[in-house]
Amino acid sequence: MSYEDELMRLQRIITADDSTDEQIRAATAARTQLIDNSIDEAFKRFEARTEEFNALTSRLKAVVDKIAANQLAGVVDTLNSVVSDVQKAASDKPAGDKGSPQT
Amino acid sequence: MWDSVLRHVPVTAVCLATLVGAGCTTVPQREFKSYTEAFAEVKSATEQLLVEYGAAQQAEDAYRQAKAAAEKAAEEAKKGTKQAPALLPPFPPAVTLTFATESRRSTDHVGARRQALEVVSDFNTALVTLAEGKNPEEVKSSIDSLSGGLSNVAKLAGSSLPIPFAGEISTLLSTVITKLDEANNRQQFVAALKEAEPIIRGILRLFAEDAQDIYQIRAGQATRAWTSHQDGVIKLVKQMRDIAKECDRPTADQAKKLDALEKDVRALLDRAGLKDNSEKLPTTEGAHQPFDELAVSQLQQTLVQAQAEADKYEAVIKAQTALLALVVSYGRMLAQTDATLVAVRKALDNPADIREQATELIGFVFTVKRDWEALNAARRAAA
Repeated sequence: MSYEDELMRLQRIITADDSTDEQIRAATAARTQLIDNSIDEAFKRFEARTEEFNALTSRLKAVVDKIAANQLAGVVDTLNSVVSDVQKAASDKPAGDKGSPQT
Repeated sequence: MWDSVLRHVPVTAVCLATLVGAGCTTVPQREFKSYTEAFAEVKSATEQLLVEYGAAQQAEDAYRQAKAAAEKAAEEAKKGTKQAPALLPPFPPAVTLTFATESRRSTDHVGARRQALEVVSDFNTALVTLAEGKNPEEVKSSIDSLSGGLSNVAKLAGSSLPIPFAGEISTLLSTVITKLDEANNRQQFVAALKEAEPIIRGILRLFAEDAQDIYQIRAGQATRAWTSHQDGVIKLVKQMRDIAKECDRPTADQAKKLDALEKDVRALLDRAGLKDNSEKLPTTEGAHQPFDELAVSQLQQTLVQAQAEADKYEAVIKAQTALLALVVSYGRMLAQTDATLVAVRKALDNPADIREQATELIGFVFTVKRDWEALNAARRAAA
């Protein structure tokens, strides 16, 4: 029986004209238990999800950190490598080559 | 030879600028803007739902404490060991303050969710920075760095060396840096988005599951309240029956008042969720107490009390119905945000028209805000 069906079954006993006091007491106690259990289950599921949140947050934080690190390095690294290539080519010039005369 | 190398710098720069700019995926600015705006609304609504969770938890703690105290009192009464209630000081004599530790953080359920919201926001901000490119200060710094490097090339060749095309180089460097920056950012944007997409979608799904549970917790708490008010109505109507039962048959004049009372009771039961009733307040033939003004007055007073219970019953139902509407529209907003994120990823390869989704999102945002206001109004009315 679903939670909703069970709740309404108990509520019918509690509100019925012909229910005895004992029946009403028992149904009220069962209703309290039923509602408490439903709330407990929802709290447990919510709390169990916290670990999943933490795991996903850590993974996303790693992506953010990676962006921050690459962003600073990317362009400068590329430029430096261009400059290095030019420097290397210049330093590899043959001995005695003084370049073009000044104009 | 080195002179020819220097002569090639501008050419290399142009080629490089052309190469890095060609064939790359364009950052889907419009789609991405829709997604970040959607997430900002999700963040705001989720923070409010987390406050709702905190309030539900507080209410639950208070209920459990009261229940435990009542059970203890009942147990003591049953055993005949009930003692005078212990006197408690109005405030604790001392307080212990604790610092959050790593192990404690893992059990901070609301904190973990707030952190998830913050990290997704940080991610969005990082992607916005990538999409917007470097700021002028950074570009200038990179030009200075490269110019310094080229000066060293000149020193290697001798102090009398002129740098050919010096003016053009400066302009081209700026273009190269911008193009390199754009290409670099685009690559990072695409890589970061592809890596983060399943993570963010996972987080959005967890928030949807949270909302379902927050609703269930609040529904349980509201059920305690509405059943209690319904029980109260029934109890008071039974009292009215008992009053009528002790009375003799009414006279013709009083019979009209009894009919009116019975009609009111039927309406009352209907309001309290006990539909299809055919309530009667039966009197007893030959009872020693007459059905007089005093009896009518007693019945009316009890009816007023029962109506107050029915008012509370209706207020609880109204507030919970408002929460249901809010959670449903929040769920739609999460789904729409999820869809806008998928649209960004798809637009990396095939730009799509996101206007329709953006319009839908605006609709959901307004719905969520309206539902929050309705919930608050319902709660104020119930208080």
